[in-house]
Amino acid sequence: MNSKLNSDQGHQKDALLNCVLDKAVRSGAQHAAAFFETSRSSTLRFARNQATQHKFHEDGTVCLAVAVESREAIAETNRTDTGGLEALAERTVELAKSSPPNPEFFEPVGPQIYRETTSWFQSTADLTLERRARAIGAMCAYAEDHDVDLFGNLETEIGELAVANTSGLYVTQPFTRVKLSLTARTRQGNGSAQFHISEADWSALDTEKALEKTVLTALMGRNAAPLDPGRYEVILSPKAVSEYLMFLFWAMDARMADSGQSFFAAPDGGSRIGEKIFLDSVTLSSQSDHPRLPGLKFGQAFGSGGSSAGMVFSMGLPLQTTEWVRDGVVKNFRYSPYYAVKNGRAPVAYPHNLVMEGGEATREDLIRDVQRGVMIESFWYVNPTDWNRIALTGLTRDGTFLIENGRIAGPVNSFRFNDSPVNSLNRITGLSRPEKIHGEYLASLMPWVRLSDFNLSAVSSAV
Amino acid sequence: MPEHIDGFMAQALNHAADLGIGFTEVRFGEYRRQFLMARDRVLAVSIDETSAGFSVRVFHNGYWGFAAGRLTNGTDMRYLVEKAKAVAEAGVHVAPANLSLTSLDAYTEQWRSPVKRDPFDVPLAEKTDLLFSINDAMKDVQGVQETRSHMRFDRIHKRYMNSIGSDLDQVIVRTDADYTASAVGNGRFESRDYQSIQQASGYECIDGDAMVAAAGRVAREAVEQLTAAPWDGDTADLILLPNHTRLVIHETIGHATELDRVLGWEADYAGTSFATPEKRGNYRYGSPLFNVTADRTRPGGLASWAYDDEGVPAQSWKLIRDGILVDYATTRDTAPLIGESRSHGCAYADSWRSFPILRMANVGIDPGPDGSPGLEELIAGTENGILVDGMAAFSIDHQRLNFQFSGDYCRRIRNGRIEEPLWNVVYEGSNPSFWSAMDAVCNASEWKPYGVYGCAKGQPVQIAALTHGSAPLRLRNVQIKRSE
Repeated sequence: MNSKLNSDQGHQKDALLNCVLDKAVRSGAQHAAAFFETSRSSTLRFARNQATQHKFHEDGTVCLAVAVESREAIAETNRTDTGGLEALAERTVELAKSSPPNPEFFEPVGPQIYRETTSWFQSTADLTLERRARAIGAMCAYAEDHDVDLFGNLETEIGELAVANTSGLYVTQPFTRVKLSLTARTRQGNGSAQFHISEADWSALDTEKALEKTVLTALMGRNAAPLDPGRYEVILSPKAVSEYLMFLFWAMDARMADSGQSFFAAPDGGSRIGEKIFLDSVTLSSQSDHPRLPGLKFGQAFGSGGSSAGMVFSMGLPLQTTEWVRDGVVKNFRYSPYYAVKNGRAPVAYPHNLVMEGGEATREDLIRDVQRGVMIESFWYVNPTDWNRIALTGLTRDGTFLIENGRIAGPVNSFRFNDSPVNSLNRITGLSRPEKIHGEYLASLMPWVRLSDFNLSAVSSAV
Repeated sequence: MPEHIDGFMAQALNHAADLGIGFTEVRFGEYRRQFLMARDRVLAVSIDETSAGFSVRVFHNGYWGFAAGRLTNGTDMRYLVEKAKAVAEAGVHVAPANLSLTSLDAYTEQWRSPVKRDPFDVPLAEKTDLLFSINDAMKDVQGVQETRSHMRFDRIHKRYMNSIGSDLDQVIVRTDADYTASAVGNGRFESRDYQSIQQASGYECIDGDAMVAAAGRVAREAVEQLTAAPWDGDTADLILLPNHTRLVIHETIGHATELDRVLGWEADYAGTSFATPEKRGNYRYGSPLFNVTADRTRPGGLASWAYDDEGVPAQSWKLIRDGILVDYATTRDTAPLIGESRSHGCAYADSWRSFPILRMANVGIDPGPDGSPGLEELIAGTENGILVDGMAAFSIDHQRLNFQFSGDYCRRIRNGRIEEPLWNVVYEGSNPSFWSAMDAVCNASEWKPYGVYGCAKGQPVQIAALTHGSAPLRLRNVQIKRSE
C-alpha cells in the first residue's frame, strides 16, 4: 500500500494528470481540467475517556471537467491506473457530448503566479498511531483526575492536491492537517465545554492549553442558575462570532444580490455594494498572506451563476486578499468564475480564512464595562429563519455565563437566540484583539465582541 | 465490480485469523453517484462520481481498529489487516476497553433495492429534457425570478464478509428529483419546493408528467408568499403535513433515540440526548396517540436493506408505544451497554473508507387507528390554526429538547377551511411537551414517506439518507415566534 500511494505522488502525479487530459482531448474535448487529490488520514475518536473509534484510510481521487464546445460534464474516480483514467476521460466526454450547450461557459484559467505558503509539516507526517493514542490517553487521564469525562476527536491528514488543465496551468501542493476537538462534561451532567484547534503543524498544537481551558470551563459551568429569556448585552467569544458571521458571509454573493435574492439586493435593483450598512468598527476580510492563517496557495472560485464545470476550470487560481466590509461599508462580494467575467472582473479563488478586525481591549476589559449581561462561549445549530433579513436562530452551548457589575457571576442555562448579524453588527459596544480559532467552515481570526440588545429568546435546558 | 474481490476478502479473513484477531469484517464497496441541476435552462451541475475500495475492521482485545484503501492485490489486503490490528492495539494507550459485542449469526444472501429502470441507464438527454421542462413551467409564472430543478442518483454495491462466516452482497439504488421556484417582489424574496418523495428504487419512481403539471402551482405558491402576512398570535393549532413532519421526526425523535448519542458518544459533535436509558419503558414522550416505528424492511425506504454494515439483519421495531419511550437504535457494541443481547442492525458507513457508526433507521410516526380522520376531516375540525407544508427553518438544541421549525408554505385554517397563505411561520417546541400536544393523527390512507438526504453525524462527518413517514397530524397550542 505504501508503495502504491507513493507511486501516485512525486513525479507521477503530473504524468497521471497529463494522461487523463490527453485522453479527454483525444476523445473530443476542446477544454479540460483535472485535479488529483491524495489523502492518508487517521482518526481517533473517544468518549467518556475511552476510545470508541480508531481508523485509518488511504485514497486518491481524480476529478475531470471537460467541455466539448460549450457542452460540459464532470466525472470523478479513484481508479488511477491507466485504464481507470482512460475510462474516466471517455465517460466524461461522452456525458459532455450528451449535455445541452451551456450559455454561461467559462474557459479553464491559464498559468498563474503564486505566493508560496508552507502547508506541509514533518511533525504531522511523522505522527504515529501510538503517539497519537498516547496523547489522547494523557488527556483522558487528566480529565479523570479532575472528575470530568472527555469526548472528542483527533484527526490527522497527509495529502497532496495537484491541478492541471488544457490552458497550460499546472500547480501542486502537499499538505498536512491536524484537528483536535475536545468536549469536557462533568460526571453529574451539569457542566460542559468545548474547544477546537486545527493546525498544519502538530508541534504547534498547544494541546495542554486546549485541555486545561476545556476542563476548567466545564467545571465553571456546573450548577447553572436559571436566567429568564430576554434581550441582553452579550459578549460573544471568537468561536461564537465566527459561527454567527458565516451566514452573513454566505449571503455576500454577487449574482444573488444583483437578482434580488439576497439581503444585499438594493431595493431599486442592483446590489448594495458601496453602501454603509454596519458600524464603522466593522471590517471583514480574507487575507491570503496572514501569517497566523496559512493555507494552500491556490483554490477555485465559487459562487452562484455559471456551472460546476466552470468552477473546476477555475481551479488553480491563487488565493487573494479581499476586503468584504471596510469600516461598515460593503466592498466586495463573492463571484462564480462565469459571473466575475460577465461583470468585467478577474475570477478570485474562494478564501480559506475570514478575519474580523478587533480593538485593543482584552476580554476582561469588555466584561468590566457590563452591568448585567451574558457571556457566550459557543453557538450550536445556527440556521436561518428568514434570509431576507439574515434572521438566524440557534442555541448557546458549552459555556453561558451571567455577567454582573463587571464580573462573571456564574453559569446560567443555555438559550435559544433569534437575531441577525445585520442587527448585531450595528450594536457593537466593544471589540477585543482578534484570536485565532478553527471555524467549522473557514479558519478565522475573530475578536471577542460585546454588543447590546441581543435576543436570547427562549431557555434551553440542554447542557 | 472488479475481479478477484471474493478472493481478496477471503485472503484478508485468513490473514486476520493467522494473526490471532478475535473478530474481523472485510468490506468492499463500489459507490456511484450522479448529480444534475438545471437553473433556468442552464445545466449548471452535471457530476458523475465513482469510488471503490476495501476496508478491514477488527475487534481485537476490546478495541476497534479500522483500515481502508484502494487495492488491487493480496499484498495490499494483508497490509490492511495488519494496519487495522495496529490501529486497534494503539487504543490501549487511551484507556482500558469496556466494549463488547452482541452475538451474531452467520448469513449468506444477495439483496437488491427494487429497481425496474436503472437510473444510470437513462440517457442524459431524457433527464435534462425533464429538468428544462420543469424550469419552463415555473418560469411562465409572473414574479418568478429563478427556477432550479435537480436529480440525484446513487448506486451502492457492498460486499461484506466476517470471521463468523457471513457473506453478503447488497445493491442499494436511490432516486431523487425535486425543484424550487424563487420569487422576488414587494421588497422580498421567497422560495417554494415541489416536495417529491425520494425512494430507494429506480428511475420509474420519477413521475415526470406529475412534476411538470405541479410546477405552475409551486411557482405560484412562491409568488404568493411575497405578499403574505405573518401569523397574528403567539400560539396556534398546527396541522403538519408529512412532507414537513419528516424533518421534525428526524430531529426530535430519530436522533434523540440513537443509543450512541444517548450514551454520550456524539457529545463532541451534535451533543447528547435527553432520552437517557433509565427513561426506557416509563418516559412519556408524547400523547397516547403517538406511536413511532423504526424500520429497515419497508421497500423503497432510503435506509432499507437486508443487512446493516455489521451483518445484522434488517428489522422493524417500536421506539415509542402509546407515547412511552420503549427502545433505541442500536449496534453490536452499543446494545450490550443497556443490557441487550442483540443489535437492532443500525451500523452504517457512508463510504467504503468510513468507519461504520450508528445511524437511525427509517423512523416514522404510525398512522391513527381505525376510525381516525382523513386530512379533510382533520382540517374541518380545526377552528383556528395553521397548515404547515414543506420544509424551511430548522434548529434543535444539543440534547434534542428545544427546537424551532418552519414550513416553506403555510396557510391559515379558519373555521375548518384553508384560507390565505402566511408569511414566515416559525414555531417553537420542546420535547416532550410538543408531542404530548398531539391530539389527532390521520388514518393509514394519508400516510406518506418522505426522504431526508444529508443527515450529518460522526467525526469525521458521514452523510446518510433516511425516510420518515407520517400521516397529517395536529398539535394544539404551539408557540409561534413573532418576526423580529
